[in-house]
Amino acid sequence: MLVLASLANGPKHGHAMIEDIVRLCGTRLGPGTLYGAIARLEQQGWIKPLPPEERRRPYRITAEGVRVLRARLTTLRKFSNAGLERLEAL
Amino acid sequence: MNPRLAHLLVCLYPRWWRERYGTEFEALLQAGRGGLRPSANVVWSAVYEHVFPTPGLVMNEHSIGTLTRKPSAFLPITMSLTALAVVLVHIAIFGTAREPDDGWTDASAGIFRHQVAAAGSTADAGGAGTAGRSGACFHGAGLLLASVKMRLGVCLGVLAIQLFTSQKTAAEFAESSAASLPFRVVRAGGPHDSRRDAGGTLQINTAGAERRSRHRLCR
Repeated sequence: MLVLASLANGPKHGHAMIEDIVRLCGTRLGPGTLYGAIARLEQQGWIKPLPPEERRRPYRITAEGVRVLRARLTTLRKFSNAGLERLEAL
Repeated sequence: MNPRLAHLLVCLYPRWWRERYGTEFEALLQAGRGGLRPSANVVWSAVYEHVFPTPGLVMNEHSIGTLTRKPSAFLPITMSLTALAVVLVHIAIFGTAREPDDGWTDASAGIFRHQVAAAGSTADAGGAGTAGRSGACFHGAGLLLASVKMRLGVCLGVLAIQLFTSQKTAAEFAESSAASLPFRVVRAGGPHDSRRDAGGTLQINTAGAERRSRHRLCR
């Protein structure tokens, strides 16, 4: 989901994704973890590779990826709202 | 990261993964910062990719994850592990017993006596050491082990007999067919293609045909 969220505002290559995810949530993904996620997301059809720029290859999110990301973020928002409401009640 | 180290780390991944992502991944490693943590992350991910390959990629059919996920592989693996567990438990509980060598004069009777003795000693040891259910368990395990060993012995015996008889049959067939055929194929010098020997058997000479075919090919 971090990779999908990172690609939501435009195509990026691996290093740009790592830096964007650090800015987004403070987590620095390892290179192996990132490419493991990229391989699985690509096989699921949620991201697509673009033509390579030198040796780096950017990726973009697909329409299916946008749908999945929106659904998961909506679930997460409901969950966080419910949790915050319970915390305010304390 | 050091380019040489990056290349070595990429080489840890499976071939099909490297063909797809190798170049860009190596570029990412070289652009990123080095250190123990990223290297360990890459090593762990490479091992994970070997064990659980990314579905949909052209994967190695012989990887551990692929093999163990096949339903047809589940039963043999389970049976092998069960047999191994039974043998190890038997050895751990009863140890290995040395028995006098009966020689090879009566191999089949020796194997049978050995299996019966193993089953009996296992059952006796189980009955003496424990009581009730545990004794019955030992008895069952002993019988199972004896059954496995007996099957293995029978299989090896059948294999040996088949090997012996097949060799003997082939030799006998060659002899009998050579004697019963009304002609013999020979490769002798001379211009003749066939002639009868002193006993009246027709001898077919293949040397002339070979020479003519070589001559045709050269032209």
